[in-house]
Amino acid sequence: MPKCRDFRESVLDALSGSLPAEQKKDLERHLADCPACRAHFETTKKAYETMDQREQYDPGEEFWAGYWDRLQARMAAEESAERAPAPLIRGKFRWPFAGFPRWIQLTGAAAALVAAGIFIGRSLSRPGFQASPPAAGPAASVQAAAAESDLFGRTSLYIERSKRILLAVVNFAADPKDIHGLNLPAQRSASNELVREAAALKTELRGSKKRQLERLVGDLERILLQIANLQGGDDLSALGVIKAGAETSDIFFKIDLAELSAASRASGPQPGTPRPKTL
Amino acid sequence: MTDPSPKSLADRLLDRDPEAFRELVETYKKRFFGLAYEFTRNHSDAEDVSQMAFIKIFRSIDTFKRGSSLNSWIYRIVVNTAIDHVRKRPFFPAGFPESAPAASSTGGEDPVAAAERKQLRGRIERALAAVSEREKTAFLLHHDHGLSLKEIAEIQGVSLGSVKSYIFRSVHKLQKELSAFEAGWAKQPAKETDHA
Repeated sequence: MPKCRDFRESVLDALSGSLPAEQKKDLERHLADCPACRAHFETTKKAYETMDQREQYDPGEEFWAGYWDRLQARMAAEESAERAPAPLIRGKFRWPFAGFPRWIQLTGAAAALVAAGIFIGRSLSRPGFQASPPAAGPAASVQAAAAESDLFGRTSLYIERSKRILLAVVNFAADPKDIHGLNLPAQRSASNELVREAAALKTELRGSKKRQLERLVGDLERILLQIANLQGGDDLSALGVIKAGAETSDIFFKIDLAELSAASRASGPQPGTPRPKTL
Repeated sequence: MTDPSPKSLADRLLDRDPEAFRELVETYKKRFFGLAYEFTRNHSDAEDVSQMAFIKIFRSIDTFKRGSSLNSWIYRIVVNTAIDHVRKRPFFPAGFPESAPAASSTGGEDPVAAAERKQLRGRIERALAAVSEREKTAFLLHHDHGLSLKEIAEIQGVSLGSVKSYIFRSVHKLQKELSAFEAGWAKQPAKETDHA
């Protein structure tokens, strides 16, 4: 004979429509007779119905249309990053014990490690020793710094262009005396362009581990998508929602932080410039 | 577009059918993004998590056992990816609460109804924030994604009874938060007693 506990456990299946017809009838009969289980059922049902009223976040058609392309671009970028050869291992270097039995290889590796340890130990303990960068270091680091500087430059430009659009939207007042008004088609077109650029920029920023900038570009992309998805005419209610979204997400504060950070980078030592030697 | 049956899609993925992965992405992208958004509350992070999940699926499809549930396997990947992402996320600046969903606003809506909707949304957000990670996962997978209790148990690696317990606890916490809002909301469920 099923108990209240058994009936209560079948409530979730009943709500999702997966309870077999016979068990559903049993449950209905039990609920008619048992006020405690009926209250339990009603509570659960009400919670599910209330959650049905919850608005689901939808980033818009433009976002979904480009989803596959962005995923493909990311997969390609990650794949090429993984394939990039580590110069020492896959380049000219050849393991001298290749082809020997495994125990010889392991012995050779151990001996090489011990020799390297002795060499490093002696070098460090030598009087007047001063650590210096490897010969190939400066050229490589200048190249990396230049690439990073270029990425920062493009990101700053992206943020600046986005900021202009956001300011135009946020400061827009539906006043007929305002002769300038909001050139919505132009703002939508510019937003579309920036949304298209966002995917590649985010991939690069992710690759360079600039997670905060990547997030900011993502946040801007989300708001720009909403602008790009605005319908023609004066869609004032949607504009109001975008303004409110920009305010509650503190997007201008985040932009200010990024600009401050960029300014401090610009005023600091130039990338690749050797630091003055200290005595 | 009708959803392809998960089993046939699974077989085609295992057979490295080039169109199958695209089909999987098109079928699940909204569900994965939606689930990731529930955990991250951030558009950029939700896209990142959903993409990472798809990439993991693509790379580890060979570890999927033919004949088992594709739904459970892929949802386990996206849930774990989302939870990992949230745990690793720095508090600042991603900790900013993001604005509530804006896409579904309707023009000319009654201001009172709009205010009530906004209030309800806020309460639901607060209620969900009070629910533990496991409870929230179980509840969302059952309510939003229509997964069976058995699938949820597989995804979370727990027993069927634990899943039911997680969902009922979520319901009670939601009820507690929302009871003040809804006039017709039932009070705390009566104490469990056996009448049978």
